[in-house]
Amino acid sequence: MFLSLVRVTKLAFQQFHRNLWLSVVTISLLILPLLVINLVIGLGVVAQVTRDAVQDKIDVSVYFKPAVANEEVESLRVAVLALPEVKSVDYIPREGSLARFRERHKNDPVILESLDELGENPFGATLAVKAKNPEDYPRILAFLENEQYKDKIEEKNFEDHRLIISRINNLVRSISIFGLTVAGVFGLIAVLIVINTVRVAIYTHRGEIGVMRMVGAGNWFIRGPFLIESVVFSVVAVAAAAAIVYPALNFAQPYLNNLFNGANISLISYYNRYFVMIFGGQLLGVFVLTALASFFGVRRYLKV
Amino acid sequence: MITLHNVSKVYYPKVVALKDVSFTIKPGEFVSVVGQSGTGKTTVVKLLIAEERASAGRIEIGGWDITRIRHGEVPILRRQIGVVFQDLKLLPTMTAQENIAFALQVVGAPPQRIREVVPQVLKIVGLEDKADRYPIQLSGGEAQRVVIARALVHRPKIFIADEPTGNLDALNTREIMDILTKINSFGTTVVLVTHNRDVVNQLRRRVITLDHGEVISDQENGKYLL
Repeated sequence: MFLSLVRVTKLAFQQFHRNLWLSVVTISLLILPLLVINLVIGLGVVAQVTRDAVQDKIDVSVYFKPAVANEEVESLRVAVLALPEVKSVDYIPREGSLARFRERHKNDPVILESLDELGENPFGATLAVKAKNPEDYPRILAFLENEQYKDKIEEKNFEDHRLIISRINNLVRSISIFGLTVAGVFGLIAVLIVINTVRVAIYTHRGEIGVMRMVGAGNWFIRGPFLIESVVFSVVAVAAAAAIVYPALNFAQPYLNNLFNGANISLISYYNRYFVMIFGGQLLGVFVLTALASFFGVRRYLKV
Repeated sequence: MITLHNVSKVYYPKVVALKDVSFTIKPGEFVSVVGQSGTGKTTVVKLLIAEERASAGRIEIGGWDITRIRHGEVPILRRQIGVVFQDLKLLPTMTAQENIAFALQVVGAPPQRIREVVPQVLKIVGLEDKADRYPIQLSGGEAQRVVIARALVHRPKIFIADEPTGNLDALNTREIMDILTKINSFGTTVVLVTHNRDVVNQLRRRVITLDHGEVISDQENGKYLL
């Protein structure tokens, strides 16, 4: 069994070598859909980071009246934090609100002078509430409308980024559909090329195949080299795709850093973390595709 | 024992290659199947190695009804039958001994057995000293002897030679016929398919004559009739 496997593998490599240029063309056509799939994966990661960054910016700022005591603000903080929809509540005391205001307008002397003329801190405490999901904000806002708290709140500021998130999602979805369609078309072309490669390999090995049939070689011994060749195609194609993807990620990284200005986005780290899943999945996919194409080609063109 | 019971073969659409053919070949016999071109001789060979299926009738080899042979059983049948065709089918990129060894490798024979068997069969056909030559470096007769050696590696019970002397001169023909006689002397059933009158007449063995797909004569110590 092992001996036969070794001999079948040897024949497969012989076929690969004897039709070297055809093998190169076949592998090239298998690489194309893989590159498109990796592009879609990369865009997905970028979109995810963008979406997270935008989501992170959403919060409800609750500005209290200056007269409201810190204990009352604290009790509301505890009540809001108890809501299942709430992820975090940041408490900014009156002094903190004043300091933040000064910091924000440090280049505007008119505003700072006006503030000084007032002689006292005009700001109340502030709570910055973040929800677990953007969809939860209306429920949090409704809670803050409660009569018990309404009179103590000066203003609520809610900047809704859901439209932006929705646009990002739509864009990612469109790119994914387009990318996968292109990958599918390339995949289909690759399948046809693999079938043709099998056909040519059968032709160039008709001598050996004839002898094998005549002397009673098993059907799987005759067909095996073609299936093993499809494994070789898959492994080489995925390895080549990885060899192209990594330098491309290296090249793109500085541009991504500039684009996201400080956001923690490293495609290489992502690929390293999910290497087995990404390239293992691609290897499995390409292998299934080429094995089916080979199987079909062998059934169609090889009479045993 | 090889038995054909009322075997017919019709190729699509209506080309009749064999019509109601019946004969029996006993173990260890040397039988020549003769006839002019297109009389169905090669069809008989193809039916015997299950390369073609009979349209009607039954073929038995050693009690095995090969007209109902399953696809996966064909290699098992072929390992019991040594076949030599007129078109040599030697692999040009392999030496004589590599060509012979290849026939053993593809059926999973271990290297030790290959090392034992290849010199033995080369000796039977008298080519021990030309084992390392490529087909292009061999004469027509020598190449045919390599093909015979390759067909012998599985120690077949039946040996079928389809026009083995078709492209050979008288001297090489004589040598090939001597080898076939030698193989038969080991107890192997030999079926020789030919249209070479001289070969058949010199053998003085059983002759089955086909004409237009039908058996018109079956004689012990027969002669070429047509």
